[in-house]
Amino acid sequence: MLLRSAVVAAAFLTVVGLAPARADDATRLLRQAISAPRTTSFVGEVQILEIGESQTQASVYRIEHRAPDLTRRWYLAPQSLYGDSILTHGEHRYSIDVQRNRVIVDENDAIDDQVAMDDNFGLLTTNYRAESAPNENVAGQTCNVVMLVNKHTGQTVMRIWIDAKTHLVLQKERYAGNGALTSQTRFSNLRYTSAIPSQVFQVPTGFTQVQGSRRAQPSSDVNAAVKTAGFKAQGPRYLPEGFIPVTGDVTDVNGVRTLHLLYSDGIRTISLFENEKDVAVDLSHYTAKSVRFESHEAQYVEQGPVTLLSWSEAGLHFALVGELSRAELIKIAASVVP
Amino acid sequence: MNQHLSQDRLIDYLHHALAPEDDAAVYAHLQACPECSAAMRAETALTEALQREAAAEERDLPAGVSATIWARVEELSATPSFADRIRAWLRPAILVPVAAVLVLGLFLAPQLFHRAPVSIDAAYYLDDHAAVNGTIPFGDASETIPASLTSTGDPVNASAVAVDPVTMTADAAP
Repeated sequence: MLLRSAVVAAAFLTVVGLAPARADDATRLLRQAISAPRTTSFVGEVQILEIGESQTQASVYRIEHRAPDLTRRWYLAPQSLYGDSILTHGEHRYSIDVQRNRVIVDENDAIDDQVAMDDNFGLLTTNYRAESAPNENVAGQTCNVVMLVNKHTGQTVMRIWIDAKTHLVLQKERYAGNGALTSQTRFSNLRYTSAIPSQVFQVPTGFTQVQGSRRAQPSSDVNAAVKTAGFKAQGPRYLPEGFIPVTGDVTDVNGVRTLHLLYSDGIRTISLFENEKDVAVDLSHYTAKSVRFESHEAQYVEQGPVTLLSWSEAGLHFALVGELSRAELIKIAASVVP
Repeated sequence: MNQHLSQDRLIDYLHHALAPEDDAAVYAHLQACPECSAAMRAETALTEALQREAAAEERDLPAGVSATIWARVEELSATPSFADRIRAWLRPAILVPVAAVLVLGLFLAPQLFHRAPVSIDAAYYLDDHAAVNGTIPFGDASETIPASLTSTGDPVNASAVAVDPVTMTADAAP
């Protein structure tokens, strides 16, 4: 009798759509989720929790998004950012700093690089297995839940809640190698609507406009980027399993040529910055700590789950940035031998 | 004048570079528009800060030094003998101010010609890392708070350098 009831209950759940998406659908769901913001407009509230090794930061913002590429994020928390907002118009980003009465204008051509996105999705499916979990409800919407399991380690590194109707990602969690939660992003007060006035996305007047960074579309030919650097650049000899060089670009930063190499396994990323001359990383605006590896006196700062490690060797200055553990980043840094 | 004032117009107004009728119109607009009035205050504060900075960097010779030197030059122009001229140059009244000028020059030279060491704010690296995550599936690029908002430093001046045309070699480690 009990068994019969369970079978009936399972059949009922399947019929009403609460059963998990089939495993072979999971990868398709991921693809749909990536492109959903291009076609879906919405307003809502987003809460983000980022948990680092020694500090945690939380932020809350109101979001208005009009497909395909207009977005405003208006910060409610932390208190230091209250009233600040970020407008995104395609590859242009306007960071409105109310306290300092300025708008920082950044340009990032990589945002619309569809080829790179496709390549990176291929990298993701090479290193990760998408598995379906039972459906759940987030922000009043039924969501398909997909887990991304590292094929090399068997560990779940990400869990994604995808709206079953619109395919928008409504919740996302990342996990460290030991299974600990490192970040959570979650929607609330969600409403799908395209009736968002254009004024919402207008850059406000009365602020001083400050030019930020102009980022070109990075090259997938990492060797070409290395040659353009103008100095003998070095890459790490050790990378965690599944990581490969993905892009490289060279930027003139305060008059100094700086090479940026990006390594990824499809989800996690590491950036290695290199330059020469008498160029230090200015950590004075952060709480920096010292760490020693091999014969190097290095310094690091943590911003939630992101760590920046900085050191010098043989006339070159390095900065390694990533969401990996500090121990893992130091292991990578130690393998960079000029 | 219903439209807000442009920054160029505000700067011209601040420096009394507008025609009288334009100047009057801007003045009237500022009385009625709180936003432009705030922008004007910000521009004025910036100008004053720059003027203070410029004044602080000025280095005047000590009072009277210039006059003393010229007085001695006039005395010497009365065609004295060679020995007198040498003695005159070695007299403290000449030597001291000349030495003072030399010392002042030596003091200022490093400040004028030495280039301060360049440094790059960590915020640039954090932001750039977040920016390239834009093409990584489910990357946090759009969710991360820009470091330029949280850092107390000024935004870094950075512009891309063209990299040679590409061919796909994603597996080629440098």
